[in-house]
Amino acid sequence: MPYNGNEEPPLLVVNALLNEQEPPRVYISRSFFFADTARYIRVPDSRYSSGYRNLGSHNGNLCDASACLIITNHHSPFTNNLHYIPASQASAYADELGYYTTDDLHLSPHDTVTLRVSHPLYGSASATQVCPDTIRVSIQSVEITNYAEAKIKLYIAPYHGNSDDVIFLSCGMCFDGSYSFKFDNRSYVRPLPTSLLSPYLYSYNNAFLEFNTYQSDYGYFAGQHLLLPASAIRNGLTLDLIADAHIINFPPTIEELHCAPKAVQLRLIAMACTRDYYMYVQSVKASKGYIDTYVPRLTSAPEVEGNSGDIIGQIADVFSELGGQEGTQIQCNIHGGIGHFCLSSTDTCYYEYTSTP
Amino acid sequence: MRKLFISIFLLLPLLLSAQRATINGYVSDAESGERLIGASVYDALSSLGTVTNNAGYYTLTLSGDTCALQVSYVGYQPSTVYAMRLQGDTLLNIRLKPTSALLDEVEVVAHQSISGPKSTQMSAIEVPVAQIKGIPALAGEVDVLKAIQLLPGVQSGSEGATGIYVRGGGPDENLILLDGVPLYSVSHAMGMFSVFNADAVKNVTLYKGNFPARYGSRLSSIIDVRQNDGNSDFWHGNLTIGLIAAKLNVGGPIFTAKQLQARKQGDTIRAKTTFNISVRRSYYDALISPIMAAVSASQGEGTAFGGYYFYDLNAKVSHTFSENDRLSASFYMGDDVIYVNYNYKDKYTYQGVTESEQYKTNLRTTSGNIVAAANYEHRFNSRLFSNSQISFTRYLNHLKQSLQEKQDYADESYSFDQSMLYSSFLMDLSAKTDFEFLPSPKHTLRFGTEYTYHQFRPAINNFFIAEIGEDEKGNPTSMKQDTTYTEGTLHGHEAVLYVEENYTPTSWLSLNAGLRGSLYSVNSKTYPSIEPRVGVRVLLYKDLAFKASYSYMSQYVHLLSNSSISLPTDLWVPVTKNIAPMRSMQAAGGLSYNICNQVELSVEGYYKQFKNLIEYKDGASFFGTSQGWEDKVAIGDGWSYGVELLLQRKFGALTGWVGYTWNRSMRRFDREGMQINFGKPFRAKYDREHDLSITLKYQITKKIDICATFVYGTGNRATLAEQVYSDPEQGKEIDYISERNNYQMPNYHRLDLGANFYLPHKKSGDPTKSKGGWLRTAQHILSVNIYNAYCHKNPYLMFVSGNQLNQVSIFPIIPTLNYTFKF
Repeated sequence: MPYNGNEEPPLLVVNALLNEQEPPRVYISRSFFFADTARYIRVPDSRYSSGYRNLGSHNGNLCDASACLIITNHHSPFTNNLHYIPASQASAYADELGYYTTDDLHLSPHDTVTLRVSHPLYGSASATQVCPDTIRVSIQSVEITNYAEAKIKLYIAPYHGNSDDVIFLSCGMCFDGSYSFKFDNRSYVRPLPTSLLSPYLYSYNNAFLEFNTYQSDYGYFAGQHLLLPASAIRNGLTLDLIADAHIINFPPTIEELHCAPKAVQLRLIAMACTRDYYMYVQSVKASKGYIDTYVPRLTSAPEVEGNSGDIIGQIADVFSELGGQEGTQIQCNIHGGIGHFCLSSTDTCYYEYTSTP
Repeated sequence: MRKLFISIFLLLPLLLSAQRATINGYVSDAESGERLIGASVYDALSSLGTVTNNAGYYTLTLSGDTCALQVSYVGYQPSTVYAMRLQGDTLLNIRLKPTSALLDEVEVVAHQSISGPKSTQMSAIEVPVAQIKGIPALAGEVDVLKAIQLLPGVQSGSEGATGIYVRGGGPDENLILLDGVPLYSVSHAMGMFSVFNADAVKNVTLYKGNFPARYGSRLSSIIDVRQNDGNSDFWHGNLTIGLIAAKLNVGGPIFTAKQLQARKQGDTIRAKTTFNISVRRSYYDALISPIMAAVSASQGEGTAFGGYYFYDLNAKVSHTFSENDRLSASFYMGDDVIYVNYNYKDKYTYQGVTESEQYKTNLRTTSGNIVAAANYEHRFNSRLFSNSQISFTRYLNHLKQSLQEKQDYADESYSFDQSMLYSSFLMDLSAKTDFEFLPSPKHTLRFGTEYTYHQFRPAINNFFIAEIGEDEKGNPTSMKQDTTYTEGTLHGHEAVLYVEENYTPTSWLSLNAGLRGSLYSVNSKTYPSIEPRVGVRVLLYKDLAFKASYSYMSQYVHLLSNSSISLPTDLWVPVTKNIAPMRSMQAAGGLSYNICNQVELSVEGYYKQFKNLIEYKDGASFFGTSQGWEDKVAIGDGWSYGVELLLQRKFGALTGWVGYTWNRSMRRFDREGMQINFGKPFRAKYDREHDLSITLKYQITKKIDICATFVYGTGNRATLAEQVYSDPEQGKEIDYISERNNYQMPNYHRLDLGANFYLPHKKSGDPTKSKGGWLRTAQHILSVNIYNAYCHKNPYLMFVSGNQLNQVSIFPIIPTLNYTFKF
């Protein structure tokens, strides 16, 4: 929908997270909300002391943009034009928005990829990223305790990608015992202190949908993430993890404390991602939850765990509305526009354990 | 040779008469004996003058054989003049009579204020307590800090809050002293009222720049508040009942038996020991809580009650041993308390057996300060004076929630006990001594030293659970868990040495140079700091002076706050290995003009630079914990500049001031990994370009005065989304914000009106002369205030919801009525 030429023009919005295993999906739209004070009129029936209504809002998805991916590696640069897939043809998983894609894209680690987008009304935008290296993780051993705790030794092969890349490890665990345990979202992944080689960052927030839930034959995984700077695995890394699922109820019942699991399934996902995407997602998360998130540094030391109770959170819910909590700027890496363009590579490995009666 | 001898003999009297003499002593209230801080002592013959220090002591070295002293102080009859011959060093104590009739003709004298044309000091304002009490106030509660917010160069932040933003600095960059002791929390009711009970306050001085070397540890301002000592002649006080709180202030002499006997025989001897006590408490909970309990009990589901209150207790005792020695002890304690209680009990008979259930839950939060100090003043001789102090200050936040449940049934019993405690704590122990030395008429030297031990305990969490019950087979079970999580205790050590000299080589030129050296040590990391302070005054004309100054300041503590209002969970933390001290450098220049000794006009311009400021990263939160706070902040720089104008009248029927500020305040955070606003400069949150305050009080008759305050200012800044876009991968709409603090709220303006009616008690007379004399000067005072008289909806905060930008305003028109009984 065209805009009024007297207004400040909207911005070109580009969102894309590409990986070497799937066809690309590039979402292109325009921004459509203006908070300029001159554009507000007073609303007499506002439930607050005074409200202002914006003079207009628009749907932003664009189907008439031009988009291409330029891949540069040891060969000559190759330009791959993207075509538009309307929403009606998009898969049910994706969404209700159309996107731009190509069938002829092959990404390799260390390729430099440039995304260029242009539109006759909203100008042009571009972003450049370098493909992360392939990440290879193997589970070397697993030890299961009676308390529904798994100690996992895993090995990450040396990583030769960009040192700014971010490595995500997510270990989900599901037990099947006499009470049909399900994976509880208070479980966490952490390394054993004795094998801590460098300070890690712990994220207790589900920043990535892919790591959020996974349904297996035994139930749902709801894992947490372990974040590593790519520099930590430059020479490979052997890591001891604990995946802990025993706190289903607090305090746990006697049966829960002493029942041995009959079967355990572990799913480990390792993803190498360009750092811009991580910063983008954390910024988005922070903007929507002022109290319970923050943007961490990648080399922060682990925090002491503990059951901190809910009273602070309850008071925080009340006080968070006071004093004017303000908007958060989002990290964007689109030049000439807003949004994000990032690349990733993923490895997945599984482990199953069945106890003998 | 003979001629030479005769010449010397003839010149000898002239030589003798050119010798110096130092006049020194105390200026005090003629009726109460209270020593007056900042009183002007001026010699009209030599045009030299000074002001009394925090002990009410002055010293003035003069040449010549005569002098004509003029002593003046706001609220007192200014026309006290002494003409005397100078014959060596002289101890001269001066008593000023309070002026009860402001309509009396005001005698014009040369009044020297702390930052007037005769003084080298600039960027300082002394606010008379009498003027503070005359300002119409929110809910009728007279407030020292709210009065300071009306001065040029000072901004208030959110409406109704007591936050102080001075020349572009933040609210944690102000050193607020009570009798020389720092206070770390100065707010009640989330910043709506300050902790200062105006009835207990004698003097308030604000320094915005040109900081004397004896002050430090904060970047932007020093607010020095002094408590009353107490009347040395007779008991006095006042009782006030207002909309929010009730206050009682009582002070007076403590006579020995011998002194009492002498007074009964008609002697007008004054006590050497005086005291002053002030108490203030809000009382909404006392009225509402019983009603809540009765209503809940009548519904048969237990008893529930709760409430909020705050209180302040100020106390001071002073003893004068002699003209040379005085000892005083002061104390302050104040808290904000929120409490909620619920209690349910039930007893009944089931199948012939008595069974019972009990359920009890409590929530209580307490936050506040304790301050204690002992001062010893010693006058060595007419030229050397010292003040030594040991002090203690503590700031505590405490939140406790508990739950008890007990059930007694025929076949089983069960009890459950749970509690959660959160606590944070900050404490200073300090010892310091200050000297004032006048080696010659042209030199005034101040020097001193201070040591402070700081203890920080940012957060302690304790969780306790105990459960006793039975399993299905009737076997007893029990469980107990008691866990404490702590972020540890930090110990800080701060040592200070300073020296400051004021040199007046000629009558038109005065120079002030100071150096403050400090060391701050915490967690095996020591930060040294050398802070130069320079000031110059050039008298262009009799009452017109040009002044310039430069100050370098360091700050070793930060306030972590999740909000722009004061909350009990705000935390003070010290510098660390990774977070260096904040620094500021300020240069200022301006003109000071005394118009007919009635009105003071000053115009000042300043430029200020900040280094190592901390600002929260986007989305960071500190609510209730300082853990990992270093990772949540970014370090950057800032700068501010502006022009201030102040027109102030302190004497006469019409008093008050007009203050205007034009100001810009910017920040830049561009260090690697710590970028805010993508490393580009952005406006500070309280960057308000224009700020105007007019405060006036007019005494119509002896029994009626009226007052008005008008404020107008550019709106505060906020960070609001300008555009929204969709991110299909995240499955949500995302706000687009071009830069931090991009949005300016609507301009703020407000008019407050007030009137005071003074009605004498039935009988009046000299309170010392007869029985019941303490009632003879009693007065009934009725105060009417209208806050926000034309009910302008000023923005408190703005937020975007859906497609709407919404404004929340808090304070409409608020009329209040206060009654005071003064005796």
